[in-house]
Amino acid sequence: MKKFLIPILSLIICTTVIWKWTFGFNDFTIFSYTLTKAGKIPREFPKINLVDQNGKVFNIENKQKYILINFVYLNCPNVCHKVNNKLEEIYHLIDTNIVPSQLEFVTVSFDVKNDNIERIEKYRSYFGNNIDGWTFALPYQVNEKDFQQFLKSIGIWAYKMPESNVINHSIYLFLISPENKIIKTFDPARETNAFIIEQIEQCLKEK
Amino acid sequence: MIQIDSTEIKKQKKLALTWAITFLILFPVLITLGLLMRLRQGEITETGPSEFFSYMTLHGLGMAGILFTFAFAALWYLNSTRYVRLNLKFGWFLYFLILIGVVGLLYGTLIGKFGPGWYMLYPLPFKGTFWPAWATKVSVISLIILGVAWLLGILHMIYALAKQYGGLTNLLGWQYLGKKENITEIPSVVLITTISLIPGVFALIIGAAMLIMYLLQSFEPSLAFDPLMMKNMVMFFGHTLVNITMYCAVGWVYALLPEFTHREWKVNKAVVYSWNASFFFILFAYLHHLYMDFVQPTSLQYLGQVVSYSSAIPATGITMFGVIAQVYHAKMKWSIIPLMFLFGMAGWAIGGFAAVVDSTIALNSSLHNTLWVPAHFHTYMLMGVVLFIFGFLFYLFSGKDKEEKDGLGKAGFWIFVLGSYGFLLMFYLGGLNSVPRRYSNYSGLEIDHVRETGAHLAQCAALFVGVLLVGLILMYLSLFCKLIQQKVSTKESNS
Amino acid sequence: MLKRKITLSITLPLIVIAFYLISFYWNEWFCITMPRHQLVQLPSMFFLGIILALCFPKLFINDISWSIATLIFIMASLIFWMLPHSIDYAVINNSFNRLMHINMLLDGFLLVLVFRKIFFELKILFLGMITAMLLASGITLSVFNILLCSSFTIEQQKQTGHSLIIIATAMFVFTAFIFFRTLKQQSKS
Repeated sequence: MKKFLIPILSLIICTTVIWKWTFGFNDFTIFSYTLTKAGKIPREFPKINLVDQNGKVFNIENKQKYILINFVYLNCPNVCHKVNNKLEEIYHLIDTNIVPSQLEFVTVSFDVKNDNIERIEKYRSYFGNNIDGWTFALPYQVNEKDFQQFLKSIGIWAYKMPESNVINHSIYLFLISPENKIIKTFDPARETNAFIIEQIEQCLKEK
Repeated sequence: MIQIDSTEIKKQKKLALTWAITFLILFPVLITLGLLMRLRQGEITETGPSEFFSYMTLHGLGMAGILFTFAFAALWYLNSTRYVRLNLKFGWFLYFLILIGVVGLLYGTLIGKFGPGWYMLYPLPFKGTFWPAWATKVSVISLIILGVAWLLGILHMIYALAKQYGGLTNLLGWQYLGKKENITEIPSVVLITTISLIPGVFALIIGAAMLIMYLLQSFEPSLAFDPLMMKNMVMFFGHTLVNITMYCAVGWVYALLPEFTHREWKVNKAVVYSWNASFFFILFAYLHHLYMDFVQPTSLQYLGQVVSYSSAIPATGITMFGVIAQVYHAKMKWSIIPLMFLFGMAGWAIGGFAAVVDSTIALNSSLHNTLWVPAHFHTYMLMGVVLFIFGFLFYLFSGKDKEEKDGLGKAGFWIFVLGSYGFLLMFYLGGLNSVPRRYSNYSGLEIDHVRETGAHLAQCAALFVGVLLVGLILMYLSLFCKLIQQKVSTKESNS
Repeated sequence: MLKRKITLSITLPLIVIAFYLISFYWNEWFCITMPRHQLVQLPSMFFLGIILALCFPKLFINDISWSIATLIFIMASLIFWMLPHSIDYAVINNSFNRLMHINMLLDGFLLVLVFRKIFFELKILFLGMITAMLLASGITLSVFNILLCSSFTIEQQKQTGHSLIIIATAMFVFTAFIFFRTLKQQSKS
């Protein structure tokens, strides 16, 4: 029996370390790890001032609506635009009685160095002129360090690759309730439009 | 020749008996699952699809698993009591490791309803499933545990044999091909053990890679592997394992049949050439299961046919010839053991022929995905491997007189054979009537003839399974009596 | 004895220098791309561990329980450092990166100590499982269209995957070579 004990103990210790490190074999990437580490939902959406494409300052809490929020940067070579295209599809597929009266879309750029109001306004126009209820925004009067902290606290991982302008980041969508709580997270790379819409509509019904 | 003391033999026998009893418990359970499937296809019961496919998965994985495990355990017993010292503690360790794997698999399939079939064709275990994700994880991990145990066992046996017989070349019988007179003679079973098990090492490594990929996919559902590559991996692993199960079983026929015919069955050049040829053919024979995959390179499809034909001829031909030479005009008592071996050979030949038919591209286009496929592998498994195993079990459970009369056992045997061939015939007829395989029931088929034939044949097959089970019960009773007798005689000799 | 001392006095400083160069001096360069980090820096540390162990030919792990426990540790370490989360964290956190280097060095070192006395069965099982793991990881990385490590690009991820498949194939051949060679050598024993 003693002979088995040492290998079994080694197996248990190794498995426990990996178990802990991946939150129970669930989070293998830094993106999902950061999301889980931010806490269970529903949880408070941290306060932050944003400025929209028209230069108007607002914050999520004051909207008193359901908000579907995502984070991008305009110099992104690829994935951010794909996510926004998906969001555009969702926007057009979702019931028109819901947007913008009950639900709003907010796309926030976290590239505070390169993106500005003019750029986000122009970028928004690519998605059409009649997209009421879809706001493009930038953080307002927040330093980079605080903004990074804000991103982490909601579960977004962003990493600027050295010697390039590429920022690799989480692409999760967050559904925030009128009570300013994150009630759902979606992974647009893995979940279908139909699934996301169904989940949103279900949340609105449960209201 | 190595001398193995009687205490060691007794201990090894205890291990073999434990394997045997475990096999005898699991085997009828798995047959019952098969019966339930045929009853559903015959529209006699109303089993739901989720139950049906979890039964099918457990029946397939379980049968392939226990038949290979027992074939391996029997070779372990024969080699360890005659030719080589094998580590008994290690043998017990393997037993418990395999038991853990089996329990995991039972849990995953029966409780978790894991049901993509034994072949787990990608992306079946992940797309549109009716079972929870944990069932996939548990089943895949259990299979990995089984794979590790099998690999360890195979490596242990091959290494011990290589040490005993002076290296790999001797184990492969290459010394017989030269002109030297003083060569290391090897028993046939040793040659066949080596040739059967070495391809198993490579199949298990590729199988492990495939299972790890399944595990990764179960953690990351958005992964998308190439289904053709996955199918090649699954078939290379699964088909090779099933193939070597048969060869392992043939191995002990080479060792035990001469005890009844009283004729030597030695290794010679023809045996070496034929089995060495099989060594390579085993690895590529699986390709005939991919004819339907039009994206598979055409060259591989042709290779599949050539190799399937080639693999059937040398080992089967030479072995059949050997068996006939053994029994022809031999002054032997046709007790149940040689009878089972002889019928097992016939089953191998018939199933093998059906396999060759299916591996012919022109015929495969009509027969594949029909019941012809289960027909062929059930033939060489049920009427080949299973008969070899029961032959071995009767040998193991018998006392000193292995040729004694056994009316009960023989009656069971004939009923079992009758039931089995009846059951198999229904599969063949189903195949010839284009009844599709892997259907839980045929009610959705649009062609009336196929739908009705499929259901009728399934009803008849269920009936024959009943007959087969009666035979099995009689054989079990006979085995039980033999075991009791053996215990009594052991006690008497001890006192 | 003297010869060994001379060999050691040359090899050990060389190993220290190599460690310094790989882990400190060139670390930034290694961390820029995934293939450099995963396929050059990590294995370099592993091989340094192997070389270090080769400098001490009398060291070995004889006890089977400890051997298996060590193999489990090595296997778990390799899995741990192949996790995208660990890779990312190693790139952004220098201390964690160094921990990875030391762990890999230790893995290589311990592997030699175990392999000196381990049973044939366990040796082939270990090599076979590593081959399977590398092949599975390689295929996964090469086909996955979602970025796994934030520190690298998806192209680098795929490139690493392809290279891992090649390494796994080489490993498969190596395992087969060890397998057949050991069996063949039994004629001499």
